[in-house]
Amino acid sequence: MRKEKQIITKGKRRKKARYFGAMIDPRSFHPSQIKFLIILVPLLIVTLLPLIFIISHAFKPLDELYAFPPRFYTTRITFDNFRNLIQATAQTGIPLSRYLFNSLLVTAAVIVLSLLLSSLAAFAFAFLEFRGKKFLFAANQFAIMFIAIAVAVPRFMVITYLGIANTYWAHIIPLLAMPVGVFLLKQFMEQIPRDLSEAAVIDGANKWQIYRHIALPLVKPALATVAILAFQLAWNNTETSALFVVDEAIKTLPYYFSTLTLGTSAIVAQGIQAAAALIVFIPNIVLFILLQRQVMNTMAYSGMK
Amino acid sequence: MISVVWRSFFSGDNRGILNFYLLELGLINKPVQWLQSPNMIFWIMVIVGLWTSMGIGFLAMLSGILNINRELYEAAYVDGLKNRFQEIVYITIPQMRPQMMFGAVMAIVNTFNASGLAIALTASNPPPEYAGWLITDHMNDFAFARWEMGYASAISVVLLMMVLCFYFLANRFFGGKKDA
Repeated sequence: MRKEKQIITKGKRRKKARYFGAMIDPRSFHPSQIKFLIILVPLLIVTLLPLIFIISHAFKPLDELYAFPPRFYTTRITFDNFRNLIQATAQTGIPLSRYLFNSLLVTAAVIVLSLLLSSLAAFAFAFLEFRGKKFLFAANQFAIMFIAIAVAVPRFMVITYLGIANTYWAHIIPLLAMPVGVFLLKQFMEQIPRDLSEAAVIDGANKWQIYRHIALPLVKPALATVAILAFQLAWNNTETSALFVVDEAIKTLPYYFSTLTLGTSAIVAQGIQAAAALIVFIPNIVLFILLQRQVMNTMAYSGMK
Repeated sequence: MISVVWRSFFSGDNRGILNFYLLELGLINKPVQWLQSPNMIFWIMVIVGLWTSMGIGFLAMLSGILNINRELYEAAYVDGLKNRFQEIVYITIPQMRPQMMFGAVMAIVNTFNASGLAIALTASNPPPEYAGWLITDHMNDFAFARWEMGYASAISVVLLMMVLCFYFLANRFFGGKKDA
């Protein structure tokens, strides 16, 4: 970066102080950056505080949950809240592990199937020529706008008429259509050089082989991103449990947690809620940290024109 | 689920962190019932919504900035760009427009999707005086509590129209010019 700067400023010293363009992502610290840190650090704290709070809240003993003055951190870490959570779940007749299994099954199915469907659709948009491609892609753009809650009524109808209400499919099928996933994958696939697929065609590859051996390996970062989005959609999902499923035994974990505290006393409920929120929340953040680089890579092509 | 945090932050009883610090600083004399007050709940929902929405859009815009061609800045300085502010207005923002569009779309979709926020924050259904009752809550109420599917469908059509209006508005700001 410094080399770049020297090249430009050579011969016109006057402009040296003004040229900052190549310093958007500096490698090292310089005192002149303090003014940015003054703005950014408070913002970071505001963003992080709720996360820190939920973690410390879940490990607080009962007296600290209601201590006055209230405080963010805990001095005595206990697992009381988690114990209470398990106790509360024991009273409901269906064990916690059942809900956990339901959520894991649904989440895994949604991730695998939506990745498959989205990547196939994106492959068609990026590599194949067919009539109505533009129209269909525009329709996909609009489908991004079709927020889940606004299509809840038709979804409910469809699921009832298909006869899959009260089954695992009622959790999985509504989440499979991921227009955002199709969009991101298509944008990413368009960056693949045409030469590659043309060379493959010359070598005798058919469309499936191009998809399997060229498109998929090269869009791994985008696949990771879509996997995260699908995970968040499925793992945090309470809507399908509330609307399409009556049988308690096939409801999902977040829905179960959200109804859990209704029966218990309000005092214990605070801690239980915090523990439950932490359990639901942790996989989100862990997955995101693991796949962060891929997400950043994908977002570079997220631009809508 | 994360509303546990916001509930204890804005709580009106002795757990309320915000109330505690405001009392300490002497800015208020008695605890404010942030969540139960119909005037306040709306703004609290805005704050919570802002906090929730700083995810995918932020990432998109950040990678948009990082992928701007650095030579553009050099060229602009040669052409007489004077300071950092002009740099932002004439190069950075126009260059990251497509990503801003994506961020805007995601923000619109997520915000309209935030049904049940007022219920979660006030821990009562419906919230006091129906304050913070969103159109999606209204639709949910009529569809799945009163089973008036026709009315609920009509609401969701109107809702989709509203989302599309916001989309076109965002498109006017961030999209459009192909060369930008």
